[in-house]
Amino acid sequence: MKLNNTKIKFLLLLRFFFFTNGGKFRKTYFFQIIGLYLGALIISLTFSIMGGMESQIFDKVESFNYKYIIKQSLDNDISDEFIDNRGKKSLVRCETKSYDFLINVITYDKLNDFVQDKIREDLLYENNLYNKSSIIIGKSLSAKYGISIGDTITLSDIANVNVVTGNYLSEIFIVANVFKFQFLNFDSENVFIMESHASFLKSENYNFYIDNLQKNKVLGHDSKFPDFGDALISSGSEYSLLISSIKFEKKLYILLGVLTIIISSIMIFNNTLIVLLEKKKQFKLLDSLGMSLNKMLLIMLFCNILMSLFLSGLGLLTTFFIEKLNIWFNVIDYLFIYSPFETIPMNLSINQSIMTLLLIIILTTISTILSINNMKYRLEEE
Amino acid sequence: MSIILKNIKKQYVNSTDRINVLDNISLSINSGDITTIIGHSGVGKSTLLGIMSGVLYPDTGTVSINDQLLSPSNSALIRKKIISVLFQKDNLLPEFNIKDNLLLPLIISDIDYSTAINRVDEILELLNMEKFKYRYPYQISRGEYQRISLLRCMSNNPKVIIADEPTANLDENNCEQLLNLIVKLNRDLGVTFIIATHDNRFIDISARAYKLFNGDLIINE
Repeated sequence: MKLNNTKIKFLLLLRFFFFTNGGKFRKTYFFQIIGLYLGALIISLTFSIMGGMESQIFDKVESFNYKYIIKQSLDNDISDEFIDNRGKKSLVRCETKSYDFLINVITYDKLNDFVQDKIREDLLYENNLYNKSSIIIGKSLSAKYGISIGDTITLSDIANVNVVTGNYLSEIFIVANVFKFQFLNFDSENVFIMESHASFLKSENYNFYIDNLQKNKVLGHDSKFPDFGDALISSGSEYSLLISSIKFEKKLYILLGVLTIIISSIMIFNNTLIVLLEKKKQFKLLDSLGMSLNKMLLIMLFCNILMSLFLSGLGLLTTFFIEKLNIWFNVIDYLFIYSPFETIPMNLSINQSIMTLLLIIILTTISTILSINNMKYRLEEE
Repeated sequence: MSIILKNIKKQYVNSTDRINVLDNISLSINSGDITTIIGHSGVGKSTLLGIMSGVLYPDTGTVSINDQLLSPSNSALIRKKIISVLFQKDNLLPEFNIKDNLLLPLIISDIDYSTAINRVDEILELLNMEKFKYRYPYQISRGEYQRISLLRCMSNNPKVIIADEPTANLDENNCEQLLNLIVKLNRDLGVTFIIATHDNRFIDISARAYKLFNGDLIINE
């Protein structure tokens, strides 16, 4: 019974604040309603799209690259138990039946481990058997030169030409699988082969790949994992500028959303103050009925917070709905025509949602309290 | 329901002067009486009523209602349960229709919603005003507005109604109707009325009439 009465009392006061003479909805509320909704939507969509992209790119870069240490030769002082893989990277000439082009060859002494641990999810074909002649090429390269699984290609080390004869060493490889990583031309410029079949490639530097996988195994055995310090080059460091630019772009969009919310908060301040000043006579009447001014102002604050909570919740729900639409119909892909993803990754986390809600509620609370104080100050002046 | 005012003083200060609006006023109002306070505009009638209803506070002196001292801590509760105030104007919320306006004091007084709805219907029936139930204040005449305002005061069964210039801005006919309604409510329900007015017709229906002049309250013979 009590709860019912409280509910009725609250609904009546809600109508009192949001309605104007004759029981009509106060139109000025539309601007702050739209502002709060759009602000929440912009921020949550930015978090969702840019965050999704950033993490997907980061994950991809991580998965296609190990952390590594550069050494002059394959014989070194690092114990095998700390190393995931080893190999080198060279620019070579690649010949097919119809084409002749340059390409980066990345070699691994444990190609099977690299495939299983790192890029299995990104392979187009299921193939567990890789031998010395196997080569894994990118999807874009495959499409560009019409190379498919089972085709033969010849790799030649053109940097190692015999100056007398003009000859250079070559090896023949058979395409064993195709990977997809349509990002900054990675899958049209890189191929993977076994180190044991890469003796034709002369290199001054060898990479020792050290990843978390081996580290976890070693730590599991209570062994002390060495600290390689600055010698350990982080994976995908060549993409750090791109990731930084995505982060910067994300910040810009979030700033736009925050600005929208700040403008809405100014509208809340103005609108609340106008409502409070317009209803001065009604406050007098309600005071005579036993409802004190402070209690009503507290309810006004509560109403504004409730409205912000509802609208920002609606903005977040819209983002979740767009995420679903993107999964079902790829709606966001129409906005990003040259996207490196098959489906634009969207990922709004709970923390980001809470952050958006908190930001809106804090700004609404501040603007309402300021307008209430302003109104009280004016009343005291009178 | 007796109301006793003891040694009430109230002073307003403006940039140049100090004005003693109420100067050591004492007054006792008996339960079930109609008490009229007459005086010119600006003489302090509204201030005196404001102090009686606990909306304003005196500089010195006390107000007690049924031996209970009126203070900032209990004034809102007393206005919810015992005292109802009728102003010269702005007695109804323009945002609400008549039904909700009558419902509001009942809901504020924590009366159960279904009981409150029945009570609103009863009150409207009392004056055959059911047809106004869903109208908004701007859709009714001044006389109807003021009569419904009086009904709004009656809705949560107060023991005392304090009315500040209730017939100001009303024509003869509406004034007469409101006067008759006050008499009816006083006679049938035993409600105590304290009315501030400069309309001398209220003196005829009052058990006691006082005149407020130069801060003093004197019995009007």
